[in-house]
Amino acid sequence: MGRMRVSLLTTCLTDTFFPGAGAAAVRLLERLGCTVEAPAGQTCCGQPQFNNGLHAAARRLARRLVEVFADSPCVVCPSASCTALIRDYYEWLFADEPGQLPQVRALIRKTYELTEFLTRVLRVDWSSLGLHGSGKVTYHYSCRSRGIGVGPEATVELIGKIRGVEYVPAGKLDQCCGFGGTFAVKLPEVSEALAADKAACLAATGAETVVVNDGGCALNLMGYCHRHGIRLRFVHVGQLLAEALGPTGGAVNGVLV
Amino acid sequence: MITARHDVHEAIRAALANDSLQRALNTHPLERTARVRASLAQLPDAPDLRRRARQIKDYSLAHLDVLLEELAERLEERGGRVHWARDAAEAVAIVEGVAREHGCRRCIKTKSMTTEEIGLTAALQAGGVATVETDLGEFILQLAGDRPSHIITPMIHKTRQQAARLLAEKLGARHTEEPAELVRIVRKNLREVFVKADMAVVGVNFAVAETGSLVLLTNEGNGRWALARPRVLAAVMGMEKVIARLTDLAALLRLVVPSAVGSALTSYTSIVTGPRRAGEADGPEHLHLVILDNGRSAVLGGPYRELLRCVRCGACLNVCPVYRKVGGHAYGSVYPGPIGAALTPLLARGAGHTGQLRELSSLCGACLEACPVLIDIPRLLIRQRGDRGADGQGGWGFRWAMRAWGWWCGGRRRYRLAQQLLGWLLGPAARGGWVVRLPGALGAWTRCRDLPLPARHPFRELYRRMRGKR
Amino acid sequence: MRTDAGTASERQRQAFLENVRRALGQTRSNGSAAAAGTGERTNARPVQPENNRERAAQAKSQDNALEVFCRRAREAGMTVVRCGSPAALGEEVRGLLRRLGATAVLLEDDPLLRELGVAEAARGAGAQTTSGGGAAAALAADVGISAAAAGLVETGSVVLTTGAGRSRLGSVAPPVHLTILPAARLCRDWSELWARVAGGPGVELPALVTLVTGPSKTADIEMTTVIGAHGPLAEYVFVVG
Repeated sequence: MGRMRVSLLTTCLTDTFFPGAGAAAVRLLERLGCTVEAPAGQTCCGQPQFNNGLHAAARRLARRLVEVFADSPCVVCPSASCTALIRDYYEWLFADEPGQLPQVRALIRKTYELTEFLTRVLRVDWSSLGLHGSGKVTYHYSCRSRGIGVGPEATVELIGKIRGVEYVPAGKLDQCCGFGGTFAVKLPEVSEALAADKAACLAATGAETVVVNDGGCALNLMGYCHRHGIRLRFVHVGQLLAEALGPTGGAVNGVLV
Repeated sequence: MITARHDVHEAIRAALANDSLQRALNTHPLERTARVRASLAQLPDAPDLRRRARQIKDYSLAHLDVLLEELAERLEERGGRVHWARDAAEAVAIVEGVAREHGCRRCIKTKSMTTEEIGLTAALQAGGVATVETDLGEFILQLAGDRPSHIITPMIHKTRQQAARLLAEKLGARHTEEPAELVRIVRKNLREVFVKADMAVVGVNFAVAETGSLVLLTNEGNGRWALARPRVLAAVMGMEKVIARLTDLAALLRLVVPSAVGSALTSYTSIVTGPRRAGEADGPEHLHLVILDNGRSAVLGGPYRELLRCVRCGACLNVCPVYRKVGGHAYGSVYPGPIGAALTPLLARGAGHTGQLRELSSLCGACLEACPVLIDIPRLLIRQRGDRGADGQGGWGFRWAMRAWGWWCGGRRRYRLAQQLLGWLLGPAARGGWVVRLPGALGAWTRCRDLPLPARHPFRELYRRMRGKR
Repeated sequence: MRTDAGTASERQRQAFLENVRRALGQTRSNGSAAAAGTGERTNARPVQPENNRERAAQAKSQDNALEVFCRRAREAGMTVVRCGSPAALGEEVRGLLRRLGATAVLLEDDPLLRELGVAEAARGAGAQTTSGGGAAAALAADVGISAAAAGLVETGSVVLTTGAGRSRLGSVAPPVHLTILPAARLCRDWSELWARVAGGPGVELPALVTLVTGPSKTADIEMTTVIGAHGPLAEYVFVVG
């Protein structure tokens, strides 16, 4: 049985600020039996422009992304918000360019957020992999996951597969962290209040590690916690799983990883 | 519809600094949301119910002219009178006219956001018709000269202490902070008002065209007094409230009431079909229905039509992170929360601060998730932000900066250059890998949080190395 | 029958509807507005169906319907008592009125209540009874007693309708309200309910149909639920049969 080919849609925030999360996603997918490539031509999905109503500018970036991933059979993205933009809004964005729609729809059909990909597409049998970890872990649910129909239970279940890790649910688990992209600078007081609220809920769990699945949330909460001396380690769900796989992975689908 | 001369940012700051408001917002919306979710979880087919509810409302909207005519005909057959108000002024004039026609001087009101929208109470009072709000929360707010801040629980922003002081001050009641006792005081006080009222003004939750019926969902019993005692009943209804059939009503109630209050039904569901009939002991002799447009037809005719599906359940308010932090008054409009942010600028075109309302959202989607009729509020807010000629809160400088950012991401090389420039620009300002102050407008970020420096080696570089390239 | 509204009012109506028709006409011809507007995003996270199979299985036999009704009505805060016979009903009525110390009782002028001898039972508890619709009686009563036109199993509601001899106020003003509901009048769902109270959906509804699903209440003060607001402080349902 051949290895599945996937392309990584890194996202500009992961590329620029959290390259480790990107690298972990690649390693994780490879160890789970995929062939991974991250097209060099990708830049940004256009979300900041799109959310602010600058749809022509957003379209330019979207067109580029569609082209870059045109030959990928499957696109996996570590960020919920970028995935949601593509799946929920790209079609609307190109409503007046019917010529583009076939390629856009093709991208929509083949793009997945990482957790979603692991659970619904790869359907990984985690029990055969012996995931190990330690310590207390909590989770911040990225609100944009709603847009792609991924609930908090998806990631919580994954965390639960790691032996030795204690999951502690945070209060207000699914309340927005206040990032919202440019929202953070346009409505800064509200954004701050939400970040403070979420940071307090996360800290109250007593966990050392917070799992996130969006670069924007990570940027916001890490920055807030660092400023306020709240000691929490933020990891992408891909990093958590890659670490849990340990130095030797075993075999997946008959392929040594 | 909107508060004159309202400064959104000032109101937000005031709300965030208001400790008792913050305490209320930190508990009540969450409690209500938990109850709502538990209630909805008991429905065997909630996703299907939502699709059906959306379908019912979409059908109504698509056939609004026909259904309104049918509603009017049925109601008139039963002896009711129907009035058609194109705007708030017409609606107020009609209700004043009804009061005059029947010689009414003592009016009771039940909770109705539509009557808030048209400013009816103040107008009636000014015209010499004593008008008392009888919904408990609205009654207390009326005593305080205050406005509701939530569609379902109007005085969510007031504490029991504040309520106690008001009742003691304005009614001469003894001072007590026990909610049960406060309610008893109001019950006793309003009883005489109910008995003496000669006119009632009510809102309408749904109107059924097939039978000419008006549906009122209440808990307190004041709505039932309004339907029992006064000889004149005036019902004010946004035109989008009409639905086609009784079977549609059942489908909507199954979902709307749990979404609003977390129970299968409110204590009282009143289905009114005309004034009292011959031989009946009580009930209104005269029933007037005022159907209100007030900007809704403009929304109906455009891409924002789905906003008119709204059944005013308030679920979106309770889950909205922005509402949970700033409360209802900060929006400066009759309808707050996500639905208010999206709808108000369309109903009150170009008025006052409405251009800012579309910014009161992080686009988190909690509202869409909670909405029983699947109104895609985030999408509609984004659309409003993109409408040509829209004066975005950021102004042209902001838009220029966003477009410039887009340009930098438009090609592989300039994107990489931008990453490097960013690192070089921020590096000197950083401490231990973190930037603590950003310049200009971006300083809003660093007011409360740091920014990590861009990684020395972005992912694209790491990836090349992983693949053995240089 | 349409009252002669006059040309001014008719003009008002036509002008109003013209705005609506124009708006609808715009979107009927302008396809793109509709296409770009309402997407298929449901965003509905699957709801945990824990109690659903249980509930679905319950909506089967008539016996079960009565059990389910009683349970839901109680969950809604009403006191529900099952009476196997008119005699048992009489006992319960007497017992309730004595416990409440009720001296003035208002009964609807209803054939069911007469048949079941409710007035006699009330007098047997030492209460003065008044029958029919008078505001004064309603305002003075300690307890109001109604006959239910139906009960709705789906929501645990009793359904009151208007008619000659029934005072709306009689079920609103007294601090305690009691509804007598024959089990045979239970409706499993809304369509059965419409059939019962209107003779079919859209046939002829009474002037007022009220579904009572609990006593009056409010949570307006700090979201603290207080039972008993402007309507009855307590709702009793005696199911007969």
